[in-house]
Amino acid sequence: MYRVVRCTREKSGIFTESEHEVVLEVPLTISVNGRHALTVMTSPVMVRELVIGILYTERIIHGPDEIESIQVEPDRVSVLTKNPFKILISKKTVLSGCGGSSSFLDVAKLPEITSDLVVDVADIRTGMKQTLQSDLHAKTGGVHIVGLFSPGGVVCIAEDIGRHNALDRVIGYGLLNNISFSNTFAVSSGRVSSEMIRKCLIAGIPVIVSRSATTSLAVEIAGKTGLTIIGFARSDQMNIYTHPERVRGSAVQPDT
Amino acid sequence: MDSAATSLSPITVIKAMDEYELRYRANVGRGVHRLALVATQKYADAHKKIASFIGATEGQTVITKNTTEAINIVACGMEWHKGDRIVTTTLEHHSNYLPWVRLHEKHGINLSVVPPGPDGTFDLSLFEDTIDDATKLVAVSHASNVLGSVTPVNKIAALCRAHDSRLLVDGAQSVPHIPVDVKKAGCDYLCFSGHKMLGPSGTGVLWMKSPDLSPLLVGGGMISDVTADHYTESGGYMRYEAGTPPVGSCIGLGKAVDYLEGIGMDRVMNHEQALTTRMIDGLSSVKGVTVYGPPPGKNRIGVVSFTVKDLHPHEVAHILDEAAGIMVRSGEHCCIPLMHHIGADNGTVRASLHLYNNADDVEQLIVTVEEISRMV
Repeated sequence: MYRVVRCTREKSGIFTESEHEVVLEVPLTISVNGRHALTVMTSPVMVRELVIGILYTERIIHGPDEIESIQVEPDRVSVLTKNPFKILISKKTVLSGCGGSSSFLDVAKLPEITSDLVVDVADIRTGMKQTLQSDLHAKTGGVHIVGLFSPGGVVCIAEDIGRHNALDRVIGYGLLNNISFSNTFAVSSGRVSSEMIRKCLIAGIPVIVSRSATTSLAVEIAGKTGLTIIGFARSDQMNIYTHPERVRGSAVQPDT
Repeated sequence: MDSAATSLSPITVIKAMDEYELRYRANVGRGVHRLALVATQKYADAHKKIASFIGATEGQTVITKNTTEAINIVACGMEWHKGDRIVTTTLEHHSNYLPWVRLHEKHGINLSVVPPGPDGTFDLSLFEDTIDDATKLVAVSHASNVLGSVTPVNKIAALCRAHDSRLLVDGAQSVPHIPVDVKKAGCDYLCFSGHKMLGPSGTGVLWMKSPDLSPLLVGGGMISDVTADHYTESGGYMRYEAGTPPVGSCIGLGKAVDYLEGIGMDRVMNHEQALTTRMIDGLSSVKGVTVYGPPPGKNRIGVVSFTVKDLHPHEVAHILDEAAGIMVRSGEHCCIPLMHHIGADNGTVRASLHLYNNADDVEQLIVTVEEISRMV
């Protein structure tokens, strides 16, 4: 997942020849039924999970059952669906950086969350801690990590150069393993953008937690669709931006 | 009741081939357009399904025209030297016999032929005595197309390993009817026919443990580079599939594998063994009928050879068709040496089953053979 490269280090005005671990980034072309569907820049691990996750959150497929075969080669993945003549076009428009792949956002066409999941603060903190325990991140400082948790514990943790890919990867894992997403929460090392929200909504993940910030559009969409966004989740604090009722004990203390 | 010759295909196989022909017919491994990519992936997937069906997690699974071609690819693809020995048996179909006779005649290869007992089963000590360090290849049928006997190929494989000999298993009659796993069999080459396992005609398979054979054919689709006076062969199954392969048929064979796996090869075997037991019991009780092969049981497939006293096997087969619409094979079954060995010089009548045969078919056969025997 990483490679050692040469670099010149500067410290206090002194430059030295050195080397450092950098995370792998490769282009992965995904074709569906012989047509180019999309190309992602990614870390080359858990490729099946990533591809199924992306195709699902891009709504190119409705589930892994639709897939007849996935042929994985070093820089390309060829997917055949059971009906290879179905027109499969992703409504892709690139909206922002950081992963680079986003789809057109129309809130009216996004599903709403239906889940009675209530998460304990302690579970959120444990989930964050487990998610951030990454050797690769410690070595390279260059990966995003997304964990999928159920109240019972970790379902899957995935890394990638991009947080969108990492989220797609855990969703792909969940789909391949028949995980009921309505009983899970996602934990991300990176910012919760509208794109991250869109992916959670399509999968039906009711809560997303980040160590970092969120965005205005993400909060707006999550508010309308019933998804809980938690940001800046640290060892003794967190900000719940939307739908706090999913966090146990979240009733605000009255002023004294 | 002639499935040992060729089998019938379920509708899913026909539909898969129809779909290829009508909706995405394109050549494989060559074009970059959409239909070529879809066809190529479906074709590759069929290889994977077939490999998985025989428990192959390594090696190459190559599509051929039939078992005969698969065996000939081995015969022509190995490197032979005068004095090399080939061990085969009297039980063999001509397709697993003539290639070795030809090597014997053309290249001075020593050919040793192990005889089975009258019922088609082997005394393994004969193999032990015959296979020596000069033995380069042992070629045996897994299941006899005449007697239905199943040969314990894994035990022969152990003898081959002790002498560093390679083992070729002719699985034409076993793969369609009983669970076959190349790892358990311990063979180096497994050859079988797609058309006998509910797939379309014109399909066969050669599995090789390692791609150590020289390709029979060279040409399009099997190279990675060509210069004015040199070519570099590609890897994978493509190396052994020069020229346009039977794409639609291979995809159809993949569907046949899906069909068989959907039912389960254990169930297929048990169903056929139950019918075979009744068939042998019924035919044996008819006066004037001689049944060949091992007794009913686990160690045989649903191929039953018999003769009716004072009637030529062709006459019996003809009457079975005319009188009852039962279609069986008669004659020597491409096994002339075996026919002489078991003393059936005119051949036999052979009824052979597949998963679509039922108890009524078997009863109808027994009753009709009874009537025929009374005519004499």
